[in-house]
Amino acid sequence: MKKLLVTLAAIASAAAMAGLTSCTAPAALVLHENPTTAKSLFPARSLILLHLRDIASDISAEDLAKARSVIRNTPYASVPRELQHIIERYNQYSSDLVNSFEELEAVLDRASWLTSEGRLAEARRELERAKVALSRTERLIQDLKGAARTVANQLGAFAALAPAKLTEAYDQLQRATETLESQREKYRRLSLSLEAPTAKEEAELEPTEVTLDLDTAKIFVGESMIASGSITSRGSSLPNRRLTILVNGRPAATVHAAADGSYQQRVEIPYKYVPSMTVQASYTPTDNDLGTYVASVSQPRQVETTFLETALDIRVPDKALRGLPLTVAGAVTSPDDAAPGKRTVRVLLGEEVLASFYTQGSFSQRAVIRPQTPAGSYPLTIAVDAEGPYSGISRQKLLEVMEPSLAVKAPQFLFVPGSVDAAVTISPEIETPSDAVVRLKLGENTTVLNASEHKTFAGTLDVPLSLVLIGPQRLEASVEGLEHKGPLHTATRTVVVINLANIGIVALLLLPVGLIARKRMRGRPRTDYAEAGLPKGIAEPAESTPPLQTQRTTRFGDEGSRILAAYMKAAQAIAEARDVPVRSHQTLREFIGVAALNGAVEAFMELTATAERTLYSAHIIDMAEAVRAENLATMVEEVMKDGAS
Amino acid sequence: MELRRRLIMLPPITIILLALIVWFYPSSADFRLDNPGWNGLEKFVAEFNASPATHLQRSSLPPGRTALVVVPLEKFTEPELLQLKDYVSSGGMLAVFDDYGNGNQLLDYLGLEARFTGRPLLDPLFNHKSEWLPRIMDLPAIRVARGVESVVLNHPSSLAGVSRDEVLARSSAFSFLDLDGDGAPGETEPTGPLPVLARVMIGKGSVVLMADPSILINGMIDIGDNRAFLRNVLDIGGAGARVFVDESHHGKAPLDEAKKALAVTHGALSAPLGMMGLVGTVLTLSLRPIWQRKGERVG
Repeated sequence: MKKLLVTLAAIASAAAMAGLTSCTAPAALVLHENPTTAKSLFPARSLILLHLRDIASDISAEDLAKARSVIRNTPYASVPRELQHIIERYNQYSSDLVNSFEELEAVLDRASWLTSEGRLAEARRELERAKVALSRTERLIQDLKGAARTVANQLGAFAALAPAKLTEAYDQLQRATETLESQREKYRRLSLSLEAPTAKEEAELEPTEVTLDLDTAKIFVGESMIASGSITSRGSSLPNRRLTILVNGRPAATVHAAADGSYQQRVEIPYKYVPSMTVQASYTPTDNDLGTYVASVSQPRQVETTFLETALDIRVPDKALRGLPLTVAGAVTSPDDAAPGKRTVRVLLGEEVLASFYTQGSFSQRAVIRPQTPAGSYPLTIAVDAEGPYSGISRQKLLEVMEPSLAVKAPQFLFVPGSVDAAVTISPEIETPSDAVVRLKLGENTTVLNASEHKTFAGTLDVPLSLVLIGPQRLEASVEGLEHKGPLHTATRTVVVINLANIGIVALLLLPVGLIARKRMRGRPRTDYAEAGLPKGIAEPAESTPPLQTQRTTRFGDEGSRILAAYMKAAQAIAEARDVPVRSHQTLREFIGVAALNGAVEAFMELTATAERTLYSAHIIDMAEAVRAENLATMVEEVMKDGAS
Repeated sequence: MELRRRLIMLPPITIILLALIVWFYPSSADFRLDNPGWNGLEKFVAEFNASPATHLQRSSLPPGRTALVVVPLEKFTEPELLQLKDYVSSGGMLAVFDDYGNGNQLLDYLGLEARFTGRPLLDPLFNHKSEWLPRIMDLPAIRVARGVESVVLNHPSSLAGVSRDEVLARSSAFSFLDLDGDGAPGETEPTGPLPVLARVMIGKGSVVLMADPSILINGMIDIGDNRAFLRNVLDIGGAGARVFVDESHHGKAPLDEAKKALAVTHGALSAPLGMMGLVGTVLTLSLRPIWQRKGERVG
């Protein structure tokens, strides 16, 4: 029996542990791997060459935007470490080459336009720039070819047994770099094609001269001045010609020359807050003058420009929490003017405008950093826009945007009924906006915490009632901003809730039960059984019967021995079932008293009587009695076993 | 007798011990919100303040300024499909992250032409350590590319049936779909660029299709610019949109089912009827010897 129970218990435990093992085995529905243990693999060598080929091809095809995109991706290519440096060099040459081709295109376009405008001197200057750019592209193409050869060599493209794919890839790369030569040649021919007519035109056309005078050498921005002068050609005036007055190279006014070739025009100085500006008068031939006269520009005149300066003082924090507002303060003043007027101020984080407002002096403004802003350092710019004669100004400071973390301070053990005093600290400890809403939630109960002096939020929360005796619950803290619905940041803490009320009730219910059960387990007193009396028909054994265990069963003959053996067997069964040992000083009858039999009473009584007759009387025991005794013992044993199970 | 008592106590003690282990042992199943391992979503939940949407109940999914993330490892039921359609039509943003699962069932129900190809996308040149972790650098949409230079995927697939205007991210020209499973580009296998992220408008809302759910897991969220990329994708539903994650189609692991059962049991026992039943059972068992004794006396 014992062995069976032990075996069953062991099997049950093993099955439970096996079940747990299967519970912990992760599901494998989706195919993905742990990226930290992913094995590094390098691509086929030919792919590296093909990527370099793509760069050269895009440049040759004048798809410079695409070329830039491919160049930008190169650092992300998986290449062997020994190749990284040379591939970076190739990338750099490619990038410089793209810049040079872009510059060439722009310069030659401008030279062509200037020539068509008759502005031959300027066109000539642009063509000189083009020559320099062409020289640079030639050098870069040679460097690029060299880098490509080096990469191919390191990849083994020139080896005797190089794979066909690798040699094919290098051939494609080589062809692509050769086409760069063609591209450069195209630009060179274009440049030459512009030089010849420029020189020819310059020799055939009539020169013109433009003069310029200004009525003032110093002017306030926004004010106007008088520009005057004349336009002539080889000393003869050119009447009714249209001239353009340029301020810092930009057209500011147009004027027509009078019959004597002179002109006069009011020119407004733009609102540009620089110390001086350059004014020129420009003549460009049109209509019948095209092909006759050369364009010309007057000598530049410098005019000193003045304006009202703006001063800006700012007070901004070094750190801020994303999702929560920060306060920027300061003052906009003008040293030259006591009353600067209403000015527009913008607060920018990087390029994003956080706030825009008006001020007439001091200001203190909230600006909210979007919750989606990644943590990091950003330039925080406070910019005051220019307004009329007042210049603009900006101040910049580095702001570290941080991810706030909440720390919940509360007791580990909470008792029901009761309340908990909790505090939430937002870290890092920087200026926390006073209007941030911090909530604390436990189960169904929520409370809003109040800001305290020490930059924490504290409050009291009632522990919600529940019927759980003891168990973990989540104490959740969250921060909300006024501009954003819902919690911005949350933190939780697990606390153990002990329900004293429920524990008391359950204890009260179970206490009497426990006491009663304990009492029953200890056994009946002897008097109970004695008062019940013996069943009828059973002879009462003598009280002075000596203890059984001192007797030797061998002297009673076979039948007697069998009866005593049966009695011992039954007594042992009772002793195990009732946890009542057979003591040496006990008589048979005393043993009945302490055994507190609930079942098989009659059988054991009869057996006891038989055993006592065998021990103490001169009665001759026959076989039937012995058999009867053994049957009684078996019966008692079975009853005891049934009672135990 | 002593041994018998101990043996009788062994099964309930074992059960309680197992229950405690199951309760506290961390989940290790793929895409579980409480799994802190490399394949769980614990970091995603913390970073984006995501809430579970265990049951696709319309009442718990306010369509305005919300994003519902779905990883359909299991099929949807008809009522669930209807609820998802209503959610999108009412203005919600449904983000379907799938590669080899059941995303196409949902797309078919929504009446879209877009499909997940269900084939592995490999990139032998632009990748993170392995061709199975391709790197995506082609992000034509500014709203997705803000602050993102490259995104790393993990055994992704690709999209088909999306128009050029709908594509938000593409793989490199060196990528390919491994149709025959040999890990090498074949002559008949489609090569890149291939779309991996797209957005389709339905009614007042939109459906965002991402051909790799593994970008959400803890092990991937810190690689490259994945975090900023995910932020941009979820912001498609509106800046600061509340994020919900549907867990009910992530597959069922035995440990998680056991945790769920324990949680249900805990909840039931916490309820008034449950607590009364428990107390009643304890009383019955405790008083059994007395009742048995009374029964014998009467007999």
